[in-house]
Amino acid sequence: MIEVTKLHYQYPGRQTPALIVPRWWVGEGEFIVLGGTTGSGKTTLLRSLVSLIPHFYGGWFGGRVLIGGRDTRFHRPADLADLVGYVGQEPEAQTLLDRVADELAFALENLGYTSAVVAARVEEVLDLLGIAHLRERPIETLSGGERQRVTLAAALALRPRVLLLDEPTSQLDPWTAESVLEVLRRLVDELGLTVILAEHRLDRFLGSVTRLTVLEQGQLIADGPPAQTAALLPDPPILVQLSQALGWSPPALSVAEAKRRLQRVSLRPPAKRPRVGGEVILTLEGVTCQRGDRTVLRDINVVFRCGTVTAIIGRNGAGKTTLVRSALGLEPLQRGRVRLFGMKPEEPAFRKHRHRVAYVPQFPGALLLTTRLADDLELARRSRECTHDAVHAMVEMFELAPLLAAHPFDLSSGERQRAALAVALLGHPELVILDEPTRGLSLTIKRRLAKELRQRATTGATVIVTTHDLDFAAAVADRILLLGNGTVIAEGSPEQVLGESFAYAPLVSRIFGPAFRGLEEVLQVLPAAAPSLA
Amino acid sequence: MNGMLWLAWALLLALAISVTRNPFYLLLALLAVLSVRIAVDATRPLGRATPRVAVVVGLALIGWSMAVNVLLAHVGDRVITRLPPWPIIGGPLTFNALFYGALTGIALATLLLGVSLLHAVLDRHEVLRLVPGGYRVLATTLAIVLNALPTFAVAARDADEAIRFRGIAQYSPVSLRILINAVLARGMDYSLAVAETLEVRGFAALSRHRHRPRFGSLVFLGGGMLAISGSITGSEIVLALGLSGVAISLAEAALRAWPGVRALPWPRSARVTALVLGLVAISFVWSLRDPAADLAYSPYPTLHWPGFSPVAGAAYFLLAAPAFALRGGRA
Repeated sequence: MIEVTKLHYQYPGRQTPALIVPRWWVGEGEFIVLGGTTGSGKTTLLRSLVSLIPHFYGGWFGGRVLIGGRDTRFHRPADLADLVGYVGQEPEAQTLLDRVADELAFALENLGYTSAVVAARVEEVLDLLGIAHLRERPIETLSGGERQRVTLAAALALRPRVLLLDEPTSQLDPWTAESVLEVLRRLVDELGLTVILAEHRLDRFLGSVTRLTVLEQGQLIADGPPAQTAALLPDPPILVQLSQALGWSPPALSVAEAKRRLQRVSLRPPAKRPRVGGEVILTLEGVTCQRGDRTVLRDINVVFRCGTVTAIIGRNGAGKTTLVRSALGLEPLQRGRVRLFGMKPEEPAFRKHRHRVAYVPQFPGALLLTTRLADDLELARRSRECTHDAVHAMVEMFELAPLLAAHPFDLSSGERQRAALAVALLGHPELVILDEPTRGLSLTIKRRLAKELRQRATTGATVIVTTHDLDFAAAVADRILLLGNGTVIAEGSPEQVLGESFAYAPLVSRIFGPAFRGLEEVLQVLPAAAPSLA
Repeated sequence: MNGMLWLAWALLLALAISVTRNPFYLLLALLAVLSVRIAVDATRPLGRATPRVAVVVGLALIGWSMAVNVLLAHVGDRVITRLPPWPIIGGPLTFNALFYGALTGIALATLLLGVSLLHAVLDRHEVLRLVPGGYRVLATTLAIVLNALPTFAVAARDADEAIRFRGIAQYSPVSLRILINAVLARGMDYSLAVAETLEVRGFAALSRHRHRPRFGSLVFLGGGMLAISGSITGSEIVLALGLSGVAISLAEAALRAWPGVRALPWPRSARVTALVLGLVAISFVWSLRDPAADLAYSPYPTLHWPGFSPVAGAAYFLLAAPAFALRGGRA
């Protein structure tokens, strides 16, 4: 189905090649996941397959990519639309029209399908991705995750033979992400679709895919069944790390397999001391918020204390982003009030206190305001009155050194996220609010971020994160708020809210029980149980 | 109301405003636009409100236009005061100039208010489908423009929020520079993403093979040039010929534009509005050649009472027709 020969690609204005693939092929009906760190070339490879490279991005292109027998050098992406479906990284920038149903019909109309076929296909994908309730919704009112499902549905509506997806679940809640994976699996198994996706959160996919292709610095370093190649990932997922720690070869690729191998082993969880928060920094009282005709938050009553980390979780469209934006005075309230540092965030007196807040929005690129990342960091250093050493520490933590001279909009999605985090976290803000901070981050960086946030909480900061990344939430949070339909459904420690949950349990909890939040805790108690695990 | 009707309304409004400074007609046009805006905000056919920023900018434009005109145009019989002989602005300040500045400001504000409400009513899907298949580049550009304008607004909001929470002084030259830079960069970034999405969704993939820009383009170009020549020279026959050419080419393009997959909605209210707008266009052309209509009113050199023709007045008043055709929800 796909044949790549001597592919060599360099983006315009860059000195080094972004991708070098001597030979790579994909058969019909394969389900492939591309792994590798941020900037390793996953997105570039997907763009080459859909012929956006070289037709759209320019640059220096050598070699040949054949897809369904068509040479991408001579076929523009529009010419491949009947064959290849493509969903890029940022769903915010991939919707064109006003209504969901129109968006789904658009590509079909472009290819000249009759109105009957268009209507049938639109209904089909609405049901397939569980978004029938969004049919007539204006796209601008959708949450990030809902948009992601709509863009995926728009690609699927064409019933392409090849589906290329760049981080298709990055903004999806766990339940929806699992259902999307199930849909993809069915498309591969029952319709023989070829699916290639790039992902950072590989745990979910390794058990389902037929092949794992690992890229590093634009080179293909491993390619084969996940059982063979997963161990070669530069930043292995939790399951593979667990397998390595336990000496399992080949590694366990699914929770079920890990549980089967562990059988009756039970680990004693390490003792935990729940963190007790200090004074109240932020209060939301009876907050109700509306967008258009839709009530997004309903009578929210919640307080946030200093010295704690709170993770807000919930399905797509539950109101997580609106809640943190309301807390910062960025959303008009229908009812209720917000007190931040003892004052209303929208009142003029609050302006003097804004430097006490670090906020990374859902679209992290919005936080980057200058033409070079280095200038952005310098601007943040001056406004937060911190030292150059503090900047260097951030650059090191988020591995930004090679990107300092780059324009923020030339960065990949994951790189932008890292840059925005570094800019926001500079100095000592007393309130840190991060909206989906782990999108596009490698496991190593996520661990560093979790450690940093916990450290900040220890020194008295209040940290609030909204996330779909339950492993991250479990690792970082003292308290979990579960939102549903604009209200707080559950509130408590990660063990209480996540550990016992069927839908929201982090991976390690699913294997070792609710008392375990992350791999570190397992590895901590593992030596004691080593004989029984051998 | 469908996309084609809204565009026709906006075109008529622009034409009607650009040819007159008669205060009666300008006020009628302003009232018509305001009534349409109120109706749009009340019904929200696409779930969007009209942009409020246009009202603020419109008011600022009126003030700016009055100030600039009174300081630069030292002509007229009603002198308010005299400035010393300073370069450019020195000399008599006249009520005539102030009045003409106000008229120009009202014209610009009306145009801005009218065009900006398209954001709330123009269905991007319909507009994209109005572009003939052969004009792929034009359609892509249009798609980028349609998507980029709301993106600029979102980018401005996001950048403003980022400036606030990054401790940069708001409303300072630094923050303004940062804001403009961020908005332009984000707009560019988004435009590229939109163009990329259009490509991978097969936009104009078929039309590239089926349709080629041809005879219609020449008729449009020729008609447009004739219309411009006619309006400059004052020749109604040339103007009429030119406008006919433009209308024929647009109608031909619209017929070719629809691949048969999706038809424009033409409910009864839309058909009636189309009829009214047609009458407006005819009345307007009629008024152009009617000296009693006094479309070319000017308060220079002597301030005098403007003329008024009921036919022209009715044409300007009927620009409010869409206000009566709007219904809640999508037409």
